[in-house]
Amino acid sequence: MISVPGSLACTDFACTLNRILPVACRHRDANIGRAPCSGIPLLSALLTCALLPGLVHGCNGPDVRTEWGESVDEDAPLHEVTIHQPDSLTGLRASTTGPDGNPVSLRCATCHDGSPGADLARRRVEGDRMHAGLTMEHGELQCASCHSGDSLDQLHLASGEPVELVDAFTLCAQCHGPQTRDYNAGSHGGMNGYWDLRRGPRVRNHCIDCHDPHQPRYPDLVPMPAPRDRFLHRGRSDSAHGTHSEPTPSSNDGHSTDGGNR
Amino acid sequence: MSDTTPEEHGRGAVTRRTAVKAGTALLGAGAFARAMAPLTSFTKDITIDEFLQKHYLELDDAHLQKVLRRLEKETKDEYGADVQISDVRPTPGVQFGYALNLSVCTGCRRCADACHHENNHDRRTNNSYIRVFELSNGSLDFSEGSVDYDHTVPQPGKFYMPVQCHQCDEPPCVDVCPVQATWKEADGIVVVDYNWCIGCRYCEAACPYHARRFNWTKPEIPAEEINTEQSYLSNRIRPQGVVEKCTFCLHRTRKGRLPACLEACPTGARVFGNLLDPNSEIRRVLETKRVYVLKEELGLKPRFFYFFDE
Ligand code: HEC
Ligand code: HEC
Ligand code: HEC
Ligand code: HEC
Repeated sequence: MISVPGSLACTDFACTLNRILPVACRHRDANIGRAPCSGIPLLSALLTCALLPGLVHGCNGPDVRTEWGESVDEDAPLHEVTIHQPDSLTGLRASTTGPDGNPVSLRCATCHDGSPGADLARRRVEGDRMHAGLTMEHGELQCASCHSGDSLDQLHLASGEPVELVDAFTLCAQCHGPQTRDYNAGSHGGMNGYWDLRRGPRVRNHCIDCHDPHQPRYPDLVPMPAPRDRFLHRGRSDSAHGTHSEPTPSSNDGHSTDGGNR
Repeated sequence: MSDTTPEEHGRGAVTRRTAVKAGTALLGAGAFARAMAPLTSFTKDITIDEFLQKHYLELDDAHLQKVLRRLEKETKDEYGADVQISDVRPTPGVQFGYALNLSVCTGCRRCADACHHENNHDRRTNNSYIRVFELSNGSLDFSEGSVDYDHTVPQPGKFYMPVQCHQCDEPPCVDVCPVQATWKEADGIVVVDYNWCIGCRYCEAACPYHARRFNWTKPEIPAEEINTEQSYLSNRIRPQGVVEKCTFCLHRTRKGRLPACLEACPTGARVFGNLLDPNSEIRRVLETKRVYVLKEELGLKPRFFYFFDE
């Protein structure tokens, strides 16, 4: 957990909203075609025509570009939000591929006919051949905390109530309340598609898209290459104009060292 | 050039030329050279139409359409790509806000990479509107932070802070522009008219988040990699010598879609939406999380927030 760095000031929500709402209302009432500078009090105060005669665009006449575009119907029916269903929720992905080029997916019951369940609680499969690569690092959980002994196509809640594999979400939710709450509020787990459901649908990731149920720690990632940014060399030689940034290994195209963006 | 009507020049062109002259003493030599270039030679890069074009806000629909078609043609000529450049205006009732969960971000830079491709940045410099800082826990000393780390992430004892344009409600970058080539739009997005910008870089210097970028060279992008869905105020390929910035992907977000950096985030750390909608995800973050503003003491009233999980 990160401790809060000193100069990240905590903002009061009420404050934040109070300042944005009035701005928004002003804009909503504004006449179409008004100069944008007049909508921004500070700016118009600073850049008056008197200060900079002839230089300031927008002081000579009305703007024609509209301030707002088309509205979206407030009562438009909302598009759907779907949760992505990973393939692993429908069976075991084999390493062989089928005729369609996709990995063969075997239902658990193909091999587990219900008999092996009895001592699920004590078994571990680390190093076994069938489910090779499966490591269990999820608190102190045992296989039987989640899988049902009688039918491996099913999971179960703490109450014993069965949960289909495809409903694994419910399983995670029972033990991870805060993340599930945040997920439902849209601040955990990410999304794709439309922020505005009046205009299009949205797809949410499944918990297990990001967290392997057996080893849920979010994996380490190799970062994408950093922008070759003049900012990198700040403090070294960034005096006034004509900064000379070090040529980067990949800028071997003969451009001047000013070639970086900043 | 031939389809330029008298109305397309006029006040606007005079205004900018006056500004160039008036600004001479203030401009850096490089910017000055670039600004003067059109007066001495009309190169392929800067056509007379482009130079005489009015300010975006003063273009009526008919003229803007002409400008858009001209820019599309120029892109075809110079980059070999068939692009569609549109003009998307703000949606009534929408005020954009963005929040980022520092408890979840692992610093993988997928956001910066998505920005690079979405916004047609120069491939050579791998430019992006997002810079990700690796900082030590409990510290916000950016001079000690790294932006070019290349080990796996996250590292123990570190946290990661992506920084992009905060779309301030009191934008210092807008205030300093001598020709009003940059302004704040009704939905909160600060934009640049790249055809009006004279490249003086005052705005870049004024931004405490270092969120603006300057095109030192003509952007290089192979035709097949160009994102063809473009808009005038956002991701069209910018000319050399102008300043550019993050627009919260207005060509997407004004049509209801999520920004490219959010969709690319594999950790789900980013939350975007309409601050006026009480049921929006962004509102719920602001109402229920510990929310922080970077450099709040400057009083710039950003639209970008950071938060932590409890
Ligand atoms: C190709 C056959 C096959 C498929 C398909 C298969 N398993 Fe297994 N599974 C095995 C074998 C064989 C073992 C015994 C492990 C060992 O000892 O090698 C096993 C062991 C297990 C165990 C450990 C419990 C025990 O009794 O050892 C669990 C839990 C399990 N499987 C779950 C599943 C689930 C869930 C699925 C479906 C998603 C599935 N298996 C699909 C063959 C299979
Ligand atoms: C936290 C609940 C949980 C625990 C504990 C758990 N599993 Fe699973 N397991 C799942 C879920 C959910 C799936 C289906 C989703 C998936 O595979 O990603 C699954 C799928 C499987 C599969 C088939 C797919 C795969 O990933 O190979 C096997 C085999 C399996 N589990 C074996 C085991 C064994 C063996 C144990 C004990 C060592 C165990 N599980 C413990 C939740 C759990
Ligand atoms: C039976 C209760 C239970 C279920 C069901 C369960 N978990 Fe957990 N989970 C735990 C416990 C206990 C821990 C360990 C907490 C700790 O170490 O503080 C944990 C830890 C985690 C962590 C943090 C791991 C780390 O190393 O940082 C993640 C992520 C996680 N679980 C995700 C899931 C997902 C996804 C599911 C559904 C497939 C799930 N859990 C189902 C009990 C559960
Ligand atoms: C888009 C990917 C993604 C999805 C989807 C996702 N998470 Fe997470 N989750 C993360 C990341 C990233 C972290 C933080 C990892 C870290 O701290 O390094 C995290 C952290 C967690 C933790 C550990 C919190 C802690 O304090 O250690 C739990 C538990 C958890 N998630 C549960 C869930 C559950 C339950 C779901 C489904 C409702 C879910 N996650 C969906 C990416 C995701």
